[in-house]
Amino acid sequence: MAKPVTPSLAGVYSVNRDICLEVNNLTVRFQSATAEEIRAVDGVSFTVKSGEVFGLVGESGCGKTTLAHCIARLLRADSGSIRFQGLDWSALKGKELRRQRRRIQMIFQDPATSLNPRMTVGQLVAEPLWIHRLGNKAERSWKAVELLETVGLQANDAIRKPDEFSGGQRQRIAIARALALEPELLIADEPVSSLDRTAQGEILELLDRMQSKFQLTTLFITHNLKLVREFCQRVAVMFHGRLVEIAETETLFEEAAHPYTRVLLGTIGPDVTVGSEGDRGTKSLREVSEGHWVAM
Amino acid sequence: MRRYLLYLAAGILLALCLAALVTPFLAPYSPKQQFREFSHSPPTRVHFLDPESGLPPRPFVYTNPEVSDSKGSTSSESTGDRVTVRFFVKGVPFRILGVNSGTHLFGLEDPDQPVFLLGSDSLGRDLFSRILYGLRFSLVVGLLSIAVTVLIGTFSGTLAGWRGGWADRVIMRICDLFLSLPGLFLILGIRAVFPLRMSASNTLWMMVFIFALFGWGVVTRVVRGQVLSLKQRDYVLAARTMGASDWYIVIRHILPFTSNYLRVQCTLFVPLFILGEITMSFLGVGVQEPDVSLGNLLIAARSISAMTQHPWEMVPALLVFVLVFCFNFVGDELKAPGRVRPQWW
Repeated sequence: MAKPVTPSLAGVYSVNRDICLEVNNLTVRFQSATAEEIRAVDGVSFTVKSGEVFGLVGESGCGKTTLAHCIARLLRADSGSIRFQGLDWSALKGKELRRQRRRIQMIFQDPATSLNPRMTVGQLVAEPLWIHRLGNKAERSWKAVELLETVGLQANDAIRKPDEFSGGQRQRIAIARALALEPELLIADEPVSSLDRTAQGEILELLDRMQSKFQLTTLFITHNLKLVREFCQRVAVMFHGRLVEIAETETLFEEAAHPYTRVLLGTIGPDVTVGSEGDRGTKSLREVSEGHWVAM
Repeated sequence: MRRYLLYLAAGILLALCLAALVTPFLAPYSPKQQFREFSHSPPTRVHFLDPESGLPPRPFVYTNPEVSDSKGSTSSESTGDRVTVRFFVKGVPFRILGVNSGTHLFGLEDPDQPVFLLGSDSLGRDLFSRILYGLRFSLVVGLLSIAVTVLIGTFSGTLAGWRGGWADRVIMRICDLFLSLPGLFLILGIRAVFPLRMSASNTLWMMVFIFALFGWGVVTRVVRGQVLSLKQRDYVLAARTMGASDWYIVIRHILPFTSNYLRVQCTLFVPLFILGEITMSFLGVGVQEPDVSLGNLLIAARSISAMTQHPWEMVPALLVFVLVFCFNFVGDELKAPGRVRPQWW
């Protein structure tokens, strides 16, 4: 006989296969030397469904990257929790954390700095496999070459150094490296904003292809709403460390409710007051229609 | 042009290091061997031409080459028998890199008849041999000290920069303490802890200890700064997300990028340590007679009469000059941005 479960605990302990990532009331504070503490991420909550591309938009400095670093466990949150595939992700530590890290991989903004310039491309792509002691040397090399070919590079590129490649090609290398461990969640932190137009299109097309090939869930971070429209199923808008609106992409573009979202979309002028530091604490997300949450 | 000067300086250093490595083979005599009748004898003239036939025979010297008179001037008359200089002669046995041998590069057939390429000192010891052995000691002190300094400095600097927190504060405060003491007093102060008379090998380790204590702070401080900036690089973050351990990241992604600084610091510290050894030995608290280093060779050269009567005793000073100059030149060339940097370095 199944034990009766109190309703409040049901959501916490059941593993919902549809939900990949669940961020709950996450807060990160930084102590600045001059002023009082800054809340880079302030009470952020959202869920990412398995298999979707979830966009996170906001202008630079709004805390997108800080949030991404928290989810990738590069930064410790001051409060709040992150659940990943039913796992208390934010509580993992030590060896167990290192072992589990392969499930969430990250692509960084600038591939010029995210690839160690002293390593060859082959070493870079095989590095995650080496770290997790997967296969022997030959198998790792084969896997690296295979990955390079998957992302549109050639096998003999493996012996070259990253500085011999263009920005777009370097980002391909970074993607190959991130996919080497076959992660469940891929965090793409502004993956195309350091690239030129042509390369941007190519990389987005590649990410799209990888999305289905590896059955990824992607957290796509960008400041560019156009990319969101092309690429994401759902979007969260971030402003001064808080989420101000979460919606399906179509809904957001057609019925944006929060003034800041409308400023981003350009439907109202940037001179409209979109909330200041003072009222941050007062507004919380409310569901205005099915799956459309707005801070008010 | 600068490139060739750099090559020249590096070549001289390499040659001196090689000479230090095979010193017992190059030196015809042991540094302690005395020829009492040949006190302060000037450099032996090696003749390459036969004075009678004008043909080149094997090089030879005269048994009674040049006689110093009481006024200190030397006559150019050479008298006595001719003694042929032989190559690869058997002499005092020695051991290099585990190989026992008694063969010296050159020497005289007659063991009682010395050949002094750079003259002899007051006890009739061959200055050429002594300079070679002195160079060997000084170079070993310099290189061992830098090795220990870099090892300690890199370790503590990486620990401080990587771990941060209390480890950082403790290490950096100790570091500040050592950096705030004036060098010579620190050296002499630590020296006072050790007994005055020590064997050559004990002296060596004592000096390595002292110089490492003197130098580690500088290395620690710079390495810490570099680690602090390197650990924020995206590829370090990427390695973290891959699940790499701290050790792996430090060895693979952090330390290789400190090597440029460490190489420059090495080439600038080695001459400093060599000069430190020379200073200590010259002051009489370093290597002591009859053991030999470049520093205590200079003790004999400090009087005015030495300069006028037996100027060959100044040769060690010249060597020190060349040695330190070359190290500093190479170090400066590598330090300056935009300068030619050969591939191998």
